[in-house]
Amino acid sequence: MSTFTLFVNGLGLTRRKRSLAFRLWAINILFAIPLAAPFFFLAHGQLSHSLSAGSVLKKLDVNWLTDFSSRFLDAAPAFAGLVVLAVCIYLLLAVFLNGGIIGALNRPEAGTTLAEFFHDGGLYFWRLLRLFLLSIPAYLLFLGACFPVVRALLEAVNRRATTEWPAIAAANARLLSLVLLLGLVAMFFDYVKIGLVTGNRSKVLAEAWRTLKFLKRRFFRAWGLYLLAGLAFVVLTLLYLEVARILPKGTPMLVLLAFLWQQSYVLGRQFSKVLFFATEIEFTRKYQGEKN
Amino acid sequence: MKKALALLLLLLPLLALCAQEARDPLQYEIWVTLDPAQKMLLGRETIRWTNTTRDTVPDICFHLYWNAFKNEKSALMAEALREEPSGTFHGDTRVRDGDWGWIDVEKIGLADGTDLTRAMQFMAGGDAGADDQTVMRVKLPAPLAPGETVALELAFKAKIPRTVRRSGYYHNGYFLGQWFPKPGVYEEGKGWNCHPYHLNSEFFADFADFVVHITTPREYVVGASGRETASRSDGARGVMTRTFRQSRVHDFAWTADSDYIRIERDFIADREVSAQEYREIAATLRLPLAEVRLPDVKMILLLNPEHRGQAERHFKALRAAIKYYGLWYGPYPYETVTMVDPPFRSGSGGMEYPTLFTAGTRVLPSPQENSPEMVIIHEFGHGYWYGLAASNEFEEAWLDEGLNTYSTGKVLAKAYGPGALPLVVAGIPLARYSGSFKYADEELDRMAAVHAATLDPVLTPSWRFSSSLSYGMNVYMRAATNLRTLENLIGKEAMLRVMRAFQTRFRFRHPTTGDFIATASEVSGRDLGWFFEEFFSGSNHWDYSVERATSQKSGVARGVFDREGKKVEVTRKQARDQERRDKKPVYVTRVRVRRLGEARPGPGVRLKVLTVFADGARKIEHWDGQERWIEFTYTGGSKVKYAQVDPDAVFLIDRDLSNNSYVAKARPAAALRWSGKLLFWLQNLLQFAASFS
Repeated sequence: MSTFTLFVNGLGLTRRKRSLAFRLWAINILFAIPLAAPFFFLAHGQLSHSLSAGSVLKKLDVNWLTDFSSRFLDAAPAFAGLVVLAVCIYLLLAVFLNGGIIGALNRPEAGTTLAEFFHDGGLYFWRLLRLFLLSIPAYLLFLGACFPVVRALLEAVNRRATTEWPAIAAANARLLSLVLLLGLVAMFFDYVKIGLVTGNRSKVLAEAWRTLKFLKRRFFRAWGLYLLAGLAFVVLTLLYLEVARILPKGTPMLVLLAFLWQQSYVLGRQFSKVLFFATEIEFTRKYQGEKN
Repeated sequence: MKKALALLLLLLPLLALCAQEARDPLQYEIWVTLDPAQKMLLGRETIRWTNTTRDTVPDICFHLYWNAFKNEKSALMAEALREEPSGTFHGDTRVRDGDWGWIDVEKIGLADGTDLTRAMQFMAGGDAGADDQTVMRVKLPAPLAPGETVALELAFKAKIPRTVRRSGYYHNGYFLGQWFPKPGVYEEGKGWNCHPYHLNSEFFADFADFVVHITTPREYVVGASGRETASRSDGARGVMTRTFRQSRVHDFAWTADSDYIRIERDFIADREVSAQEYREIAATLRLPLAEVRLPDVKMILLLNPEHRGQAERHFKALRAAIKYYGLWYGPYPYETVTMVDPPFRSGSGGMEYPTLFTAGTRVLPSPQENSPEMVIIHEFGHGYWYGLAASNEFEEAWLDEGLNTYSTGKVLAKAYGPGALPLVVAGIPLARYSGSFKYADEELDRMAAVHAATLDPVLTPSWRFSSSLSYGMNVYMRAATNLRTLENLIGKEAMLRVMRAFQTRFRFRHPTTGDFIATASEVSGRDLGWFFEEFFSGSNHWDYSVERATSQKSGVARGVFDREGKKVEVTRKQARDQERRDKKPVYVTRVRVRRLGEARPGPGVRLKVLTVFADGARKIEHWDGQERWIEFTYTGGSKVKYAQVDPDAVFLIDRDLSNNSYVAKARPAAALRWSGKLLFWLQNLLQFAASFS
């Protein structure tokens, strides 16, 4: 079975378990609405009785940005703090949801009830939380040790550049290497999560070791599959951007249309998240019988 | 009679020469050699300085600008370190070991051989600190009487820095500005105006005639102020010496890079400007047609090979600049203009010098952005406001930067229109996706102006601004926004005449803010002193708002009334019944306008307040804006639709334009649109964070 076949199987699994993406989208938007609400009330207070609203509806009006920032810039640090706090809480929520997603993908039946989804989330929460805490130093290690090495190598190229092209190439290589390194760590921990849930094992370190051995012999196949799922996400994003670019704006109905398109993309991102897990589960199922 | 006329004609050139001598007190002849191996400039300089004042002058003060790059004790470096120890914003002032720059005057003397080297001393202290070496004083053996000329000969050597403040080198590319010992400006009754090189300031110098002989390795392409009049190759040494000449300029810059592509084009005025355009501008300016005609100009472009495909884009922008600056503010008076796409990483982009400026572009430009067009138009425009009406940039930087930012916005709007937000990630332009966010220069300027209003007055000496950010936002954007407000106040055509008059009256002179105010008041026929006092000398917000605009049905009053000698009570029920019977309700509309800022209009200026009713009726009031608030009351058969203070947006400097109007019926769609967008970005942020869970 080729990597591409595994990817197609993952797509099929994602499609069969599509309710997962809708649930994730609903949780995501419900969490984000209270964060965006203060902005709405400020903007509403400023614009609802102003003639400026007409222009602001049509485009990102720089004059309005000036008006808004001159009034509310002092609130920016408080808002940023709120967002950081919300992101931290959402990370914990995401740990909980991961248990629900992998649990649902692992169930043989097509549908999963909301109760089963939350049950799985709760059941696997503590072991996945321990894994999350373990992943933090791993990410830091990669960002603090591996990435600086890559960056230093590329910086040497950049420093010696006498024209723009090598500098641009180095900047892009740096960005790409950062994404790939982060992806590498994320992929490893995805497989550990899958092992903890599908094998119903609770010893995180042991599972991490087992995963390391599992991936060691199949690294490039697993990495290829991960990149295919990543490519699907990139295609989705480009599709969103291209359509968003040409969508007309300027009337309440068109604003609603743009909003629906934005939410379709967020929903697409949830499908993409499920797809990553689904392809990795397919990969695990195929190779778990083999000797490490 | 004929003889007298012939004599006069013969004498005219001589008289003109004398007049120029009287105006321009300086002549330079400089021989400079670039040593790429040592990164050095070796130079000799002959200066003739004439005392054109009624003072007796005992000394001469020189700028030695490159000593600002000598060590961290110079005024410039110390100010950069003090303002921002991290060096994020002033990164180019963080010099690496071995990359410092400096200039030494090795010898100075009179042309007759009198050595004055021992009479040199650095003028440190005061704002510059004790260790600054960017100003040097030389005591003359005998004071210079009015009208006398002194001829000085200097030998200097300068270490070229790895680029700081746009001067220096990277690899084989050199950009050399402020590179030679240059006298300050002697002001009658005041003495030498010769400020140290500060972090937040540019330059001030006298008009002069330059002859500069530049020797570089033969393979270098050289561009410089003025026009190249001779070149001589020395095959044995592998060098080439080029001579450049330019009269009536106050600075001289040059650049050398073996990789430059040199392209020439002509600005042919008759092709660029139609007869109709000439007629229109002459009528607007109330000038004879002959005075608005433009001359042809030789355009020279020094381009990086990587940007070869962008040559015509550069010339198109320069043509627009020569055309509109010329039509609006006066013909470009020099034969050539050299546009430099500076060497890679030379950090020299976006700077003006007489008849030469640097632009700058990327190898992957975006068609949606007005870049490099904006910088080309802006830097060429400096040739008018710093180059010709040569104000003192140390003391009144807005007279160059503010006037030019205002002018750039107008040329850009006329020639190109709004541009997309420059969004670049790792060198890749993403304007395809940010292209819908287009902005006009004046909108961005207003944003900076509003945020800078209370930081410092525009009329602050450059080095005394509270920060570089305040300096930049005040002298560029706030000044430009103030000028747009002035334009709205006195009218577009009057403003054009003000700018033209200021430029032509003060060409080849050193005007001050007072000169601008006097010109603006005279040409517009209004006393504008209050305007400059409030917006240039002051640091207050201007903010007027319509607090509310409401209509209430005029009800029947309840209570006890004296009617025909009796006390009659109108009850709640009677009042209600009476109101119900009214077929044509009457509404009382109240519009309250409030002054939220401290800035206010001057004498004779009234703020317009417009009230529009549902039936289309309009009421216009005028308010002097002095009190904190005013309320207008109207009674009529229609409800208010909206009310607006300053409906013509005269006062662009207003801190909050959105509160200038009050619409009776609330409309949430605009707030929903951008809240929805913020929600979307927050969702994506959360989703991104979740990928690490």
